[in-house]
Amino acid sequence: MEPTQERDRAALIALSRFGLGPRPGDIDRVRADPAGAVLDELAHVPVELPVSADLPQAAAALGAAQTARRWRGDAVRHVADLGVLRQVSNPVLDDVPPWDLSAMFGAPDLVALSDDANGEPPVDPVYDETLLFAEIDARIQRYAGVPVGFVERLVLFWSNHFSVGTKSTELTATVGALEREAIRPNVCGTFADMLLAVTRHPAMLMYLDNNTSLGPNSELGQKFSRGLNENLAREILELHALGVDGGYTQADVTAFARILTGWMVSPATGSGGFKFDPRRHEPGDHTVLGKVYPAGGVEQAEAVLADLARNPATARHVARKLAIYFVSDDPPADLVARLERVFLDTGGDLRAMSRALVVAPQSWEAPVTKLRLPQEFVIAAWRLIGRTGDPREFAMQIRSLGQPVWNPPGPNGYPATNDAWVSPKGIMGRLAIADRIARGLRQGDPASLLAAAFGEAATPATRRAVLSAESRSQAVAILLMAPEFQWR
Amino acid sequence: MAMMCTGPSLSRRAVLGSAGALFAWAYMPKIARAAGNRDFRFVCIVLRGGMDGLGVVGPVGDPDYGSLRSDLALRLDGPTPALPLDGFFALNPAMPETARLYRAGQVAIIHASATNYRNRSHFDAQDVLESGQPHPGVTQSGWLNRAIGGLAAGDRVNPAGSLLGVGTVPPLIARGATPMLGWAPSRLGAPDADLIARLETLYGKTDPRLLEALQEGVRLERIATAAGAPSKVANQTPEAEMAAGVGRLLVSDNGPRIAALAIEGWDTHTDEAGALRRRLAALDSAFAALESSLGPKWQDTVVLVVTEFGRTARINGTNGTDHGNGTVAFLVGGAVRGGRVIADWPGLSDAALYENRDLRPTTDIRAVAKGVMADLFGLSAAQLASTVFPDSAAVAPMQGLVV
Repeated sequence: MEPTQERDRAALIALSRFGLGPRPGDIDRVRADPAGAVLDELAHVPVELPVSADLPQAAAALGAAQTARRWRGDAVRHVADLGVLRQVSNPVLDDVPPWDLSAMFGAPDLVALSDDANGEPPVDPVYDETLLFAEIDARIQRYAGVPVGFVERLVLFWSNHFSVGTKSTELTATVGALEREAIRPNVCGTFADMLLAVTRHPAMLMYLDNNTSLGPNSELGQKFSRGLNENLAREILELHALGVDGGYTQADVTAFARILTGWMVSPATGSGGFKFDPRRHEPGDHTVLGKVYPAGGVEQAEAVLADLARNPATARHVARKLAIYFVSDDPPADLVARLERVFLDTGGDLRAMSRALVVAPQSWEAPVTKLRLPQEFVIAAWRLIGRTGDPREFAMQIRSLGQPVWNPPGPNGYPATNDAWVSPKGIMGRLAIADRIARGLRQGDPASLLAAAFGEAATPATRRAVLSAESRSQAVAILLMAPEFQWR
Repeated sequence: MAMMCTGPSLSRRAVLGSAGALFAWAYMPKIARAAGNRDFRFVCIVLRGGMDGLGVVGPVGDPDYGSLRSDLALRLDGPTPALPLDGFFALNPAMPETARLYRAGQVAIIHASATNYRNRSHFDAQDVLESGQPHPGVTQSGWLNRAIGGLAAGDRVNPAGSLLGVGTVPPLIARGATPMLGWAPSRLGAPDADLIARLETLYGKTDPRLLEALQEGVRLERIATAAGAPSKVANQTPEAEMAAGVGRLLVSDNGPRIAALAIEGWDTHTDEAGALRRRLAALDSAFAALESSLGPKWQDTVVLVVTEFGRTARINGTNGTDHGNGTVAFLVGGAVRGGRVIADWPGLSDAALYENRDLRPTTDIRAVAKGVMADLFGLSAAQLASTVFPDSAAVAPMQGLVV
């Protein structure tokens, strides 16, 4: 390979393997020191998205979503669906979401639902959808503006690791908040802090049904016949921390589920969306992975989470996932081992682990074999052409490629390996989107876009195919479908 | 988790030769034939949202039906009469094709049926319906994927790919360890042939993997859309277009033989009469499209149509219905022993309703799925009660569903 091709290959590793893809000028900017550009972003580029009226805190979003549900009549229907109507203050039922009540009661328990007696104007009845698109729009703005996008890729990785889905009004309203409040602040923090923040977050508690979990011997558990829900405990062990081969047993899942009882959502201001309800908490000592956690309140589960974050199996699990996501479906064993070592040595310092990933020679030497995930493909295309706004279009594009925003097929998130995305359907889907994006482009010169996208690293075949296209639109579509754009 | 065709291994390609068979690059189980060497086709349609069985197939002979449903009740008289089925039940008038097929003995309806799940939450109920598990939350794979996987013993390689999952995210029933071919109807208009040709040229030079995927994708699309065929039905519903594509793929050489797809929009809380009619018209058109695109193979086809739960027996305050339990399932196809409504009818009196609100389920829908899997593919009751529908030994496969 020619020296310029080699340099630009390294620039593209920085911008596409680690980042969100080059914008015009990015290759020139990072060419001299690609690794430095990535590390510089890790050190300096802000990861937080500020709270605003458009991007509320989870507790506020939760409360507003519940109100919106009532105002569009969903509450009447929804609670009627579950055989329960409630609108009166009742210490037993306080903060028990409607969907939870039938699980507790079994038989319908009808309480009159009053019209809004205060005459306040209703919350926008499609609050949750409006909020979701505001969340997406904020991400699109961020993706367009970051110099490399490594930090945003880390946010995408960890969000997928701690997946939640929009399977209810309240979840649609709070999934974005989980990323903002639990993931982003901890991407350059510690895994222990991230694990705790995610587990406490109302979106995770709702998604994995901890709301419906009652300790059998708790006060409410004895009152109602409903019992333990093990989803959250199991997924923390299997997906978030130890991994499926992490050495836990079904007994550990059940014990951890008991410890997690009482971890509930709350719309109360200042709560962060969380409250601990001792009435639901299973009393007594419980043993997880051979360690006894003495009877207690919220700190019982906090102790388990802290221990899981320190567990060597967690280090191994997380290191391997990180290497698979960024570098290769079959990453070099010594790269994974190095990341694992850094995790253990630093007490789960994620900035240190991310840094280790970037400075590892294997990360740069590994051949380009990973297909851009649908989200990555669309984001990279929009970054290249400078497109922002229109979150609905963005959401439609990635949904059509099988990776709808915040709606994975399960708590294990979207697959990060090629076998899920390299397929006839996958490529035809991308072709349709590439064509659509290209047709929407009103200006731009294919030769400039080619340089912006690949520098000198494009093959002669790609160069020829783009420059000999019969129209600008066709040229851009070919560019977006070129192997150099699809693989990173 | 969505599963697509796995990447090729050199040894498999060597075995399969250079014929470039349509789905040659994936491990696909051979479909066991039931006795008689018949080459069946099976389609499972998941209706998402909880279809109102009482509004689709009305028990007009039940004395409580009219008062429970008032304006939403199907009637044999009046301006838009329901289509009589068997003297007790009548079909929503939005389904004339289904009525025709019923009269031809190609539709069986199973009423007052449901899974074993009773808590009326869409996502949990869909989990149970599709995963085949006795409770929600276990979503690594679907029952159909496991059923097909269960046919693979003894056969490691077969060019005939069996299982087709339809949609940008295919239904859970088709996902799992058994490889699944993916196809989604293109909603954004087909990219032009020249662009495709130029990409094929480019990939041909530098990217064999993308070339293979693109060529297979183009070929699938040509089959599914009958590209080059003389006449296309004008103003087809999207559901009919999707169904026609599925049918064409199911009769293609070395193509899939089993398909799973979903149709949304059945959660009729508000103004149900019109909303349900429109959905039923779309479903009706899909049945007709499958019949047409499968051609002679329709005689060997079973389509199973299921939904996650039914709806309240009474209408609500917004002229709709809320989440319930018992509902209908359909079996449609030339291989169906049809022309009948199968129901252990519980009645609609207050005492007969489930929790004084829903049609009480009296048939476990797993019995229907098991019966079909047994008759079409020879799966044993033991396999069906362990691998396909875990912990369901108490649910006996329904007999005699297939002719």
